[in-house]
Amino acid sequence: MGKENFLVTLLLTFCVALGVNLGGSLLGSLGAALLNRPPLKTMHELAAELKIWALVAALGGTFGVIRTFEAGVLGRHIGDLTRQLLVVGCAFLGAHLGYLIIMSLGSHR
Amino acid sequence: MPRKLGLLFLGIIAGGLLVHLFHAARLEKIYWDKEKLKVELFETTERLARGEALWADRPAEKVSSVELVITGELDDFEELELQRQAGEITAPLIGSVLEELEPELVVALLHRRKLTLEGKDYRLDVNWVVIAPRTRFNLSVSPAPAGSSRAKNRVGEGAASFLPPQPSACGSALTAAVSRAHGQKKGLRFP
Repeated sequence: MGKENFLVTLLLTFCVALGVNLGGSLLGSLGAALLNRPPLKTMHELAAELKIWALVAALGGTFGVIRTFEAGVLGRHIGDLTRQLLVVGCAFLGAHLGYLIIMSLGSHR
Repeated sequence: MPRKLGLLFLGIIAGGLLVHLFHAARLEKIYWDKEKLKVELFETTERLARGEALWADRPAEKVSSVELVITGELDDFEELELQRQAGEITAPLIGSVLEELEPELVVALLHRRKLTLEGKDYRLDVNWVVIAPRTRFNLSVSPAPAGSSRAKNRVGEGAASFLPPQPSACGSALTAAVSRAHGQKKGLRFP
């Protein structure tokens, strides 16, 4: 994997995690409003709950990553291991940024 | 065409989201106000049910005393004597259950009644009555015009016909009136 390719992967992971969290929370909130539920409260709850799912979705499933970790640790491929950690970190950052944006939307409550 | 359709749906969703975000705070406030009102309604309903239960279990109130307030151009002796005579008429009210009293009949006890005092006739008019444990009659007294009789009352033929004109016989008549009233429930109507 080249350096440029890796950066694209990082950005893609970040955006996917961000989009999953933002989109899920916003559309969920819209659905809550249509069903006479509190929209902001639902939005906050969804943002918190979707954070971990956004991470998983951005990584494209857990097993591949875990396998890479395993190979990295046992096979002492520190470079691969670091790359995967960076990808996970980017996914986490994207999900958390989405969470923070959602929280800021209802912060006047 | 599918691309335009996709864009259209995306636009609808984006527009819906924007409008939703714009109104979300107000929707949220409405939701919580509604929840608060639901709780208040529940508490009020509970309180009402408790109040109704207490009201249903309360002991029946009875008339414990009758006060007569007489106004008119009378001297002290005449007023006392009229109070005595009117008191005799209203005495059977004491001990009656308030809820079972018929307000019209209570008024009819004294309204336009002719009382004789030292050969002179006086007519009682009931201004108002408070039916309570301490029942109070507010009466006006005026000299009765010659030839007037109890039968001309406006209160009602039934009340006028079975109430005798003489105060001495009024006790049993009132008892009869009150016992009849038990079976009839009417609203208070001043004559």
